[in-house]
Amino acid sequence: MLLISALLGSLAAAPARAHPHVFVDVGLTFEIDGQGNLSWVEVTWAYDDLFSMLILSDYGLDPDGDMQLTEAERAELIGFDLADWPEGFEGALFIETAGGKLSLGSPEALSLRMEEGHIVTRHRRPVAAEMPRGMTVSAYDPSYYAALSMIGEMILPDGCTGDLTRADTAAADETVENLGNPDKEDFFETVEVGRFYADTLEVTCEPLS
Amino acid sequence: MRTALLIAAVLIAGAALWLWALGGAGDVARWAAEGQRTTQEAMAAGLRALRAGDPGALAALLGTCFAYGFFHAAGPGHGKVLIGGYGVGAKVPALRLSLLALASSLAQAATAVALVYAGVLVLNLSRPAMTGFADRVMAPVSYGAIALVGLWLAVRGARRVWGSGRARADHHHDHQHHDHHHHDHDHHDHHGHSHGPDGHCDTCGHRHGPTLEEAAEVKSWRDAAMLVGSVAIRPCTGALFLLILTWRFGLDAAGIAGAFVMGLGTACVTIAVAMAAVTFREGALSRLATGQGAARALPLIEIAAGCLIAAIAGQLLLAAL
Repeated sequence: MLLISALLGSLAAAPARAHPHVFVDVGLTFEIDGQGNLSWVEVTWAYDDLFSMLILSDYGLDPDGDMQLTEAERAELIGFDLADWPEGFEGALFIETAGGKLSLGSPEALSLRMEEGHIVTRHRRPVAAEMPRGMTVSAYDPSYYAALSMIGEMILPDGCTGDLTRADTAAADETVENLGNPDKEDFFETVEVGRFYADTLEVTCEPLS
Repeated sequence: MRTALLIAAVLIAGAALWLWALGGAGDVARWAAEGQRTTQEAMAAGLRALRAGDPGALAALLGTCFAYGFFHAAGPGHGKVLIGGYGVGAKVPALRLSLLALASSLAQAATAVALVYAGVLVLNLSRPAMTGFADRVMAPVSYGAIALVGLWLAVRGARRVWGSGRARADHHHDHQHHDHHHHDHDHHDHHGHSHGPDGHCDTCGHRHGPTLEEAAEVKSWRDAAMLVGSVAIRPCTGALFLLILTWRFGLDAAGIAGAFVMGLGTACVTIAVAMAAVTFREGALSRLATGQGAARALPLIEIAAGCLIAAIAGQLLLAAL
């Protein structure tokens, strides 16, 4: 869908794994409407070279292998990562506020382009909520089939500041190794390890005057 | 040759010590996570170059495949659990276990080649269908098989505890070697005499069936098939990606070679684990000294290692179902 849905439900069945197969750089834009409500979250996904190549070949595009697409090819491919999200897949984006988790609507494709051999897609998801004073935003694939890094551009509403914390992969690996420890009580629970490897963006906003 | 092996063993034991005792594993994990992404990008570049017919592209791609296999294996993995657990639990020479680790990795590459070519040529499967099959079907089957190997090791250890206890209770004769090499003719014990190393009874001059070496040999072939088979069932997704792309680009030979080179990279890690496991076992045993203590400890170590393999593989299996 990312990867994911293209990877066909392997999400739902992904075993505990600490080695992703797809790498995605994530950028986010938070859009405020005239009433000061958070109306949309726009998401940019930039896929790694190998996965980009794989997707193009899945769709039979770019036969000359120059990693450039024609207008018609772009039109055919757009939305490939939004179609058929597996049951329960939340779009690899999680926004926590003091009032609980924000509910995000269905994705709408905005654009798709090639950038130095990478497929870069943009989509947006509706949010019907008052702009919260604080949010904890994390972008990750729970199954960790894809490793998402929040290193793209982050555009916040005026008056808000963001503080990005990169995942501590060494600590995450340790946590995951310990999941295999029969002494731990969660030993037999199904393990979705992606959250241990998630970057988080803490957003703090000034009260609206 | 012998000296070279010895030096290699010392180096690997040193690396194992650094990894697990001195906290190096955390550094490796960080390096591996970065390394995997870097090698994945290098693989894409290599494929592009090969497709464009650049000179030296094949060598560069194969080098990348090797690095990919290595970094991939440096993370937690089912093969390392089994090879390491087996090396700790069962008496197996370091060289043999290393060869088994190598064979497992190459057989895993062969599985990937077989899946992709059966998938595209015979079954006409899409890429998601192939990788999905590997994840949803082949992975759980592999974990299940590994769990069974673990249980089987544990049962073998338990039978040995039970067998040696019974023999000691019934008879007081010399059969030290029984503690080291289980074999299935305990009924000979009631003769109350000692067997020579060649399987001949010292006092009665006829041969009693398989020698200890022969029994160990048979078992190790069976063990070898189980170890290699259970690891190989689950192909590496990275190899599938490579094979599917090279097939589509008409670069089949390069893709197949790349998959096996990836297996070699993976094998470097599992061989290190194999050496570390055997070294650990030998070290633990020498500390237990000789005689009855070690004799009793051996099957217990086998039971513990078997249970651990079964538990970890079982956990992977449950998560994958």
